[in-house]
Amino acid sequence: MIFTSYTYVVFLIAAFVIHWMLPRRAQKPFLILASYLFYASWDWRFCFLLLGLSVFNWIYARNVLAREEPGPLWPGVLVNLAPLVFFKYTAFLWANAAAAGRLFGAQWHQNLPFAILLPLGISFFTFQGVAYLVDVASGEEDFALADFLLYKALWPQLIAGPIVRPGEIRGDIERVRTIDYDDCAEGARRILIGFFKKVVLADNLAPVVDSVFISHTPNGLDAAFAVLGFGLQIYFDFSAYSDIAIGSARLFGFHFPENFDFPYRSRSPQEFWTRWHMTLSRWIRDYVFTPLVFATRGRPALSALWLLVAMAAVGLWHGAQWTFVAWGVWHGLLLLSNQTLLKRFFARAGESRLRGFAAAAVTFVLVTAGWLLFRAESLAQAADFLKAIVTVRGGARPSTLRLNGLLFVFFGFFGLMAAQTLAAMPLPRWVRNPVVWGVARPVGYALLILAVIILDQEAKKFVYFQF
Amino acid sequence: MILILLLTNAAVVHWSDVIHAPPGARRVEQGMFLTNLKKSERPVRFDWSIGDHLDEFERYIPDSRKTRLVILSGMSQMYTINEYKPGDETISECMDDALAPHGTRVFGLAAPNLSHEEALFLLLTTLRRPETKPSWFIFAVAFEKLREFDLRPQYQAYLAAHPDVVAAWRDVAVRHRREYPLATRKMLATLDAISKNNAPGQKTFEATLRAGAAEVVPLIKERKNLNGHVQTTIFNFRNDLFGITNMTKRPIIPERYDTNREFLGLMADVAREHGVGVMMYVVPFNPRAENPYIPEEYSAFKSWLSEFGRQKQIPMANLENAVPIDDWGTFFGGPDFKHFKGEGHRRTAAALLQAFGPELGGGR
Repeated sequence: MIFTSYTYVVFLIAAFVIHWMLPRRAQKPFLILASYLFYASWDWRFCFLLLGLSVFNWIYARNVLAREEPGPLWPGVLVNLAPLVFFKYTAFLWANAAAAGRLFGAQWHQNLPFAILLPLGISFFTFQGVAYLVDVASGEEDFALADFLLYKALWPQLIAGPIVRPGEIRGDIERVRTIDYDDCAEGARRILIGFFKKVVLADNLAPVVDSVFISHTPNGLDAAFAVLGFGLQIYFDFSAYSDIAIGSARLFGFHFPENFDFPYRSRSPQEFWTRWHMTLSRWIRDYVFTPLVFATRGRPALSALWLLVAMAAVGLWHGAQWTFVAWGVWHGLLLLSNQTLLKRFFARAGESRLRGFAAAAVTFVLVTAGWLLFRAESLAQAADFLKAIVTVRGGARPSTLRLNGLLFVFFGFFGLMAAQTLAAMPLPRWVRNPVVWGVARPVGYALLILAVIILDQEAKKFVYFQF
Repeated sequence: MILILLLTNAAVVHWSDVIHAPPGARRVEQGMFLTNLKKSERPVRFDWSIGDHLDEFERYIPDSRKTRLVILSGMSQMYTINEYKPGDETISECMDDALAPHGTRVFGLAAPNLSHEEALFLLLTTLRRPETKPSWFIFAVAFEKLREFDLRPQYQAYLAAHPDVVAAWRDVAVRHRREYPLATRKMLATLDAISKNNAPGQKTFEATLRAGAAEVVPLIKERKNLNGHVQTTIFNFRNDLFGITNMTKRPIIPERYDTNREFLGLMADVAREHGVGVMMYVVPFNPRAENPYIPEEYSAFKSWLSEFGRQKQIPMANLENAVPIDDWGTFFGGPDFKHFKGEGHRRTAAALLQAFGPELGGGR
């Protein structure tokens, strides 16, 4: 059940109506049931995995970690990571072991002798489970069973985040939630914006980008526009998912943390990670980087290494391919240079508009260069694209893209830049006029709905589902 | 907001005639014959849905177990008749008239701007059943079509619904990976896109839901036509912005060009593997209209095509000058670059029979 499908709209409306009609004591069980129904719409078999991990985490947290004398944390973490490693990384590990074995004369086939289906959202609910165990071990109060099952399964965040930590949602889960006009209005607005970003922007950019990445030898212009286009596509796609997730949750009185805050406005790589997939970067900081640094606190030189390790883990979390690891390491290097070589450059971004613009432009170029590693099918393809861009292969003439594709990416880029610049400015007084605002807002929403209905490409999957 | 949406729905109902008009409808207003036919009035001898409902028109393909079958495939020139007069027939119909008495039947499978990838797809769909497997597959080559690839959504939907065609498609892509790396890579990417966007079990419910919503909400019912209008408006805006006309010289796009040349090779090889003969011809041009080709590029392409035909032993015909000036129509006050009158269809069919008649079993 894809968020931008008609099926989801019907599911959401039905769930909303039934939920708020039910007596309060039945609302939580209903949400748990609805969440499992949502997950089963992908593949019912993996519901048992989700339920099994949920029950294990709850029991382990309550009976081992929340005792007066807590037991070890690591077995619980391992049990959470084991399914992730099995389902997501077995083929990758096998292929690399086979490649290494060949160096020593072994004749292993590169592909696994059996197929492994990847449970949807496993990367997200694994991280959530680990966060729960670590937080309980650190003194956070554990949940009641029903509350925990709801925390783990609540469908808006189940497949692709945001990665919600126990403390961020405990209040909403444990309090008596009542239907609230502001929550509903904001929820509906976020869902509509999410639909627009995904259906109108991301889904229409996808074929342009894909056409270049399946090509053999793109010219420099193709490669540059494809990488730029992918940077836009993944932003619109993933932030759309987060918008719909946050909006859906609001309809039921849950307040999820934000996941994006105009990341392409960042004026340093460090700032980028406070605006892009914010819940993941906080997770990595708190559960990977900080514990590593703390464990080696007597040797500060190691923190640079831990930063690279943490970012490589971020890359590997996205997918079992060396391209993702390279993307993570690239960002690790950017963060390191942010603290060393380019520290002064980025630190002075606030001194003048020109410096701010230059810092934002450099950050954007560096981040966009990273998208090449993220999107490429192999490191060799990434190298070829990079070579095409650097050597301006083919001059100003595209080899693959048509004029329409070039224009779409061009206008998409400047549209986003204009939108994020305007979003940072206060509304002019004439717009704030109640009459103007009273007319402009509903007209704007109606236009968004029309665009979503008319320009729909029939419910394409979100990029982040694969993670 | 709700009021605006209600008004929009009312407007959609009010202007449904305009909305219903497909992009080609303006051509109908200009006196062109497209495919607005009634099956009771005329035998079906080509895909009248021009790619929209291939499933529905496959059953009209003459049974090749009982007769020699020729499939004629190409773009809109095959079925568009400029300044249509009753009695005018398309190229495939004219050929069928001439060859049927000799035991050879001709059926047209064409669609607007048919790409080479789509032509290969059409060939594979005919090969899947003995009754539709042709003796000959004739493909109309147009230089500007080497700028395009991909399967239109209707063909993708067909592919998604026919696992046997998917298997054949994948088999061709895998087996010919070495000789045709670009084309086979594109074929696998097409399959990948189709499998990603057609989750089993979900599409049916989602499609049912969409159909149900379309019954109730006119805006949803007309969304695809409205989408077409929006795309056309943006396209026209682009043309106005950059001063692009249908005669503006457009250079080839190298990788697309190479990929499409590989698709021609694949078409020939796949047909041969199945014992089907392939013939190709260069489509007629309007000598009065300036074409959008860069002369050197077009000349190089024709040389390549000729050499390709020789190497692959494909009967080849150049019909560039087969249709004289008077048999071409006009479009929006200017000479039409690609579509001719009924007489043009007769002349093209006659030229094809002249070139390929003996092989097709119909004499000259």
